[in-house]
Amino acid sequence: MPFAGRTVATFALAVALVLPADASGQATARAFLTPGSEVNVGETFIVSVEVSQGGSMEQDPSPPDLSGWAQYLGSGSSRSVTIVNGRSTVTEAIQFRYRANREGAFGVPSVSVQADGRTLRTDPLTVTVRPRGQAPSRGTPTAQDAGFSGDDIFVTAEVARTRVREGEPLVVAYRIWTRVNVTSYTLTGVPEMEGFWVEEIPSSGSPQVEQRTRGGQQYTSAVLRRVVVVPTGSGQRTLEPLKIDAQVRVRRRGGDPFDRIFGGGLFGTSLESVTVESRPVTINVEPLPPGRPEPFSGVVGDLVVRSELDQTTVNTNDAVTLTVHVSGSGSIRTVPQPEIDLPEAFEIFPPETSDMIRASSRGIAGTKTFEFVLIPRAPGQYTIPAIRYGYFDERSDGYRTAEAPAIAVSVTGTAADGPGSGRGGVTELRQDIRFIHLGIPTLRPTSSGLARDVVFWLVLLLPMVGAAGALALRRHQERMEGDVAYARGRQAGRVARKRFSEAAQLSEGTDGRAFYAEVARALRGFIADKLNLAEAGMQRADFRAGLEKAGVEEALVARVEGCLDECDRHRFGPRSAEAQEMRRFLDEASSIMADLDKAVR
Amino acid sequence: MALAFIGVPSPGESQVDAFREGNDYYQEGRFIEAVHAYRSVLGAGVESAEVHYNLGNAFFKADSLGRAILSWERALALDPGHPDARSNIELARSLTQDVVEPIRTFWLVDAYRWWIQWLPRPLLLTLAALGWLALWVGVVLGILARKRGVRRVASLLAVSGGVVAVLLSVNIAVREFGLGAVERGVVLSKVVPVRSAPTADDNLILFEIHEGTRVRIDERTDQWAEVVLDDGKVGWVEVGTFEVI
Repeated sequence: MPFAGRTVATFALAVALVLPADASGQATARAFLTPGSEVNVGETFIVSVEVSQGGSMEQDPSPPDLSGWAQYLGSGSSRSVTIVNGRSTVTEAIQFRYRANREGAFGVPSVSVQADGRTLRTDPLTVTVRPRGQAPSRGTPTAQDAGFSGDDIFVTAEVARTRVREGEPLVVAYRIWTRVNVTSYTLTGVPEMEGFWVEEIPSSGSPQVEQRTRGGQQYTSAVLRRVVVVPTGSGQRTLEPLKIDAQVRVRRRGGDPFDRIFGGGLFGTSLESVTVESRPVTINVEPLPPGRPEPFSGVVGDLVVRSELDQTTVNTNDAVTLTVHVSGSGSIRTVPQPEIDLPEAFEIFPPETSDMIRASSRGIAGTKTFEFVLIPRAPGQYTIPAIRYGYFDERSDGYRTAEAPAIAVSVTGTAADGPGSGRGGVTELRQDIRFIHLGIPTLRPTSSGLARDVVFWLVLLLPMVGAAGALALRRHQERMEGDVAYARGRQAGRVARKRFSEAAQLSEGTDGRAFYAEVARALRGFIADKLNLAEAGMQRADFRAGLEKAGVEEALVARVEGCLDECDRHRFGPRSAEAQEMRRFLDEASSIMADLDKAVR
Repeated sequence: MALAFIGVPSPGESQVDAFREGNDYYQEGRFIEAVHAYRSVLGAGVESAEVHYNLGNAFFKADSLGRAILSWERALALDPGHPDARSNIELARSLTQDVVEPIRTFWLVDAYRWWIQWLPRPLLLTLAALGWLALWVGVVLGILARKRGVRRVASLLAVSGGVVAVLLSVNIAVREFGLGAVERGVVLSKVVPVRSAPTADDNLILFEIHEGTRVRIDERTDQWAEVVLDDGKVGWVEVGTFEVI
């Protein structure tokens, strides 16, 4: 903002010879309003405080507090010496600039000024603020209103050329031309430079005032502001106008002597406020020709790159600083960070960037410095590669590449252990994950698990069953060998079945007697084996007793006896049996034997 | 018989096709599509360490660090010896925001963990089955054999088979039946505040954990879970900020 501080206009335009100031009379202080006591809302007005007759302010007075109805914009000061009739009068003045923002009638409180060791107070003033745009106001008059023409004071923007290349610096000078007495000025509208990178050229002290001729007229002229602009893209760009508010001391035309003295300033002059702005300037920005080298710095001008390591022998895991200086002319400030393709063993941290840019009327020049901290993680001989920047050389009108040579560095010590020691940041992606597996995997049902696998349970349990079987088999074998009764009992069935099959063969023939004898023998033998008794000499009663003792049911015993009886009947009876009858009897005997086998264990 | 252990019901052709499709997408650099393809394999109710592993890679390439770590952890849960998943997890952990230094464990515990995870599943199952069968063949032979030489061989077979079976059955019990297993989760939200009590009171925030950090889940309510970090820090987080491995 242009109102940040006091804009000291040391325009000595009104200064005549400074004679030794006489001390006749007391210093006085007074306040007055410019342009007048009536302003419109939104217009600026000035409260001026003057100390005259040799008084000099020891301290700038503080601006009157008008915060209820006007906004304080800034202040300026001026000093003038007037010689009338051989007497010189020095007048110091402070101008406080305000913008009215409410309508109504308001008072400006008195301002106290320290001068010549005394405290001087000004009289309070009244201001009438009118609604916006009402009544012809003398608020911020254009030059014509103020009693002088537009030719008398104006601002121009001067550029060396209106065709520039993208990235090419261009000096813009804003110059004031005046034929009137300007006591002070303020930059009120500093242009926003859209599409440009702006570098202000610092002004050394006060603007240099010179006499210049323009359009056949003699002007007093000074450069108010000088900037270097760098277009950031191609196309048609506009330099927005610069706006200034100037206080012009004009000679009153007419008016009565009284007013001349008290209303319009001293000695027939009065301060007028005037706003002037420069014309917008159109700049054609041409794109750079194709074929630019990468990485491109964006600089149009001249470029030199230097790089250095603070040490070329370093221990593993110790930091080493790589400094890259980019210097030259052109838009050095916008030079991007260099891309350094470091050996994998180095970890790099984001750089510290600093720049020293000087903007002058010849353009921009300076140095931008990048300081990288590198940490080697493994020992060995490495090379920091060359650092390159492409730029557009103005003189040869073509692209060039500035290069800092490669630097060799040797790293001593042992390798860093583990990735944890080098936690540089998430961006370090030089390592990559391993590749996917392309082979077709064996897909298993989710939540299958062993517990649901039949094969698992079979493998788990079957051997146990097998072992149990083996154990049983072993015990059987042992009993067959050692226990006669067990062996006879287990074999009884087999012997009996053998005899039955012989009997069955006999039943085919006609010899009924032999058949029944065989069946009886089989049955008896079976029972004897089962009960572990001697078969020879067994009586019917013995069978009955034995079977009952073994716990055989009465019904079965009766069937056994019945069966044996029938055998005896056929063996010793007169009648020969039919083959069919014999087969039925064989079945009956077999059934009895099976039942007995079950009953006697 | 032991081979029947490994020979698993063959997966549907469509899942194999989806897996191949995922691989193709991955190789073309279309990682989001690859994620969908691999997920469709898992969604069909079948799984394999390789599918989880590839899915993790696709997530990683699609800048989803938390889910990548989760998938690799699942691959490791199925196949603890998967070297690629292990390597990728290590790399991914170095990219997470939280640096959790695990508490140093007693060497015996480390040795036990190594033992449990030592053998790949098919080999483990085959060896355990062979040991088990050898044990019982030895037992049966010992029962039935009459010659002393045969009986000596049988008892040798039974003892060695028994030792193998008992040792490996510990692995099977831990790995397949989850004996003594703890529930672990991976943080999926970008930032998760960890509180000292299961209430949404911001005054109780102890610290914050970030995407990709692995936690142990000790206790759970409907909305809150007590988590333990690898470095021993304990606190409560909201359920839904993490996913169980």
